[in-house]
Amino acid sequence: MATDFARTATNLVKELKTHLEANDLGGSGSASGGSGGAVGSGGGVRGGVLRDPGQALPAYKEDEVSKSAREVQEHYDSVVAILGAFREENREWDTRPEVASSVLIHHQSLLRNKRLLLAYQNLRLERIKAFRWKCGRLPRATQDKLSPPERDFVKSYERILNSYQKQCRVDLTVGFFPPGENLLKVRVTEDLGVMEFDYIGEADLQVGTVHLLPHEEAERLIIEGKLEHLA
Amino acid sequence: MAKYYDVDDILAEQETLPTVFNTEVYALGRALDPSCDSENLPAGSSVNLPFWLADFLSHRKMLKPHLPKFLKKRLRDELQGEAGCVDLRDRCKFFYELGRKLCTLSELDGSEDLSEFLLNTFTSRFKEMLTTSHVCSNETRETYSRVLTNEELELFTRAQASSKAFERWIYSKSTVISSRIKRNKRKREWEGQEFRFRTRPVVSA
Repeated sequence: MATDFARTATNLVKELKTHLEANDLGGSGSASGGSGGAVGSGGGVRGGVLRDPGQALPAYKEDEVSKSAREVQEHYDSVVAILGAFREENREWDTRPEVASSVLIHHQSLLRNKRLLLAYQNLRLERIKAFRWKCGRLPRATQDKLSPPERDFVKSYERILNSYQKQCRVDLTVGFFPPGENLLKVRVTEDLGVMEFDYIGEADLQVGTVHLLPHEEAERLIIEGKLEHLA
Repeated sequence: MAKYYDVDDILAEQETLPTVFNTEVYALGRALDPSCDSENLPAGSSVNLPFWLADFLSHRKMLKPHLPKFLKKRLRDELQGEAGCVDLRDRCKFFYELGRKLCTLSELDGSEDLSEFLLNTFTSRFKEMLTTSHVCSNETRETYSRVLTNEELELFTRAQASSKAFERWIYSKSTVISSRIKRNKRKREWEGQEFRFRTRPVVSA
């Protein structure tokens, strides 16, 4: 029976944290949306851009998670087994400190594993939320790295955000850059075809062309990397 | 509970410290100490345990914790001499965080002056660190980030970011919105067939 003090889960959390720090979302101007938890502690200050959006989140480590979950089960079984054997003897706890300490060690290891697994999941969800606020929707490469429940989370989060934004009729995820002028000069970096805008009507957004677009609508596209802002 | 999800807190608690068991431990002999021959761990065995477990058991008087290596006498003398130059990161990434936690253990030898020692170390290192952070080159930053503990590094990077942000603000005229995602794709499109070069950019509206 393995009492390696939750090493699997610790490594899980440690690796994830290193990965997230190496692939910081950057941009100090925006709020992280949710409760500014673990992500906020490392991110934000270091600045810089995300080199590869596919690396925003590492793949979900199904094997390690289930290994830790099995460890929890093992600890639980040991606690039950020890307590069962002890109950048959029918003696006071004070007379058997060695049994008490063994039970406590198992129980603490169990709780520790639980905390690590929850922290792992929480760290991932914080990153998913932060990504939605700072860089827009998750790209396909990142979508594939989510676990099924995480995919559900993304879907529901998107739904809630959309329905709220529809109610108040504002795109909350943009507007972190105070507008200096009404129209922004942008160069198109990804073919977008003809799009409709406020004030100016339709614009044919072909790669390499330069346009003046309304601040609000252009900002989202710039953040997603489809337009480039020309100073 | 406030720090339940705090990863730094979790990792700090994973650091091990030497402990001596006051009681026997049933059926965990080999798991706790690989060199143990018997099924039960005998009382008085010394085992290295992670902080989270040692903390819990020492509050129940089941073991006696000892100071971890990085807080032993020799290192402390070293730090009292020239605190700024000592590589604390190599010894323990969470030097202060763990030290602070160790102060709460009641049965630790040498814990009386521990808090004072930590504070002194921090103040003497902090001053130099802060001055360096505002004016340092990339190389100094590299070497620095290898000797600072996690807590110090956080302060260091924040100080640097703030002085950089201040500079940017003072020399800035307008804000340029930049993509947070750098696309490699763009480069390919510029070189590829698809891109039609126009002598004059089309400006609509």
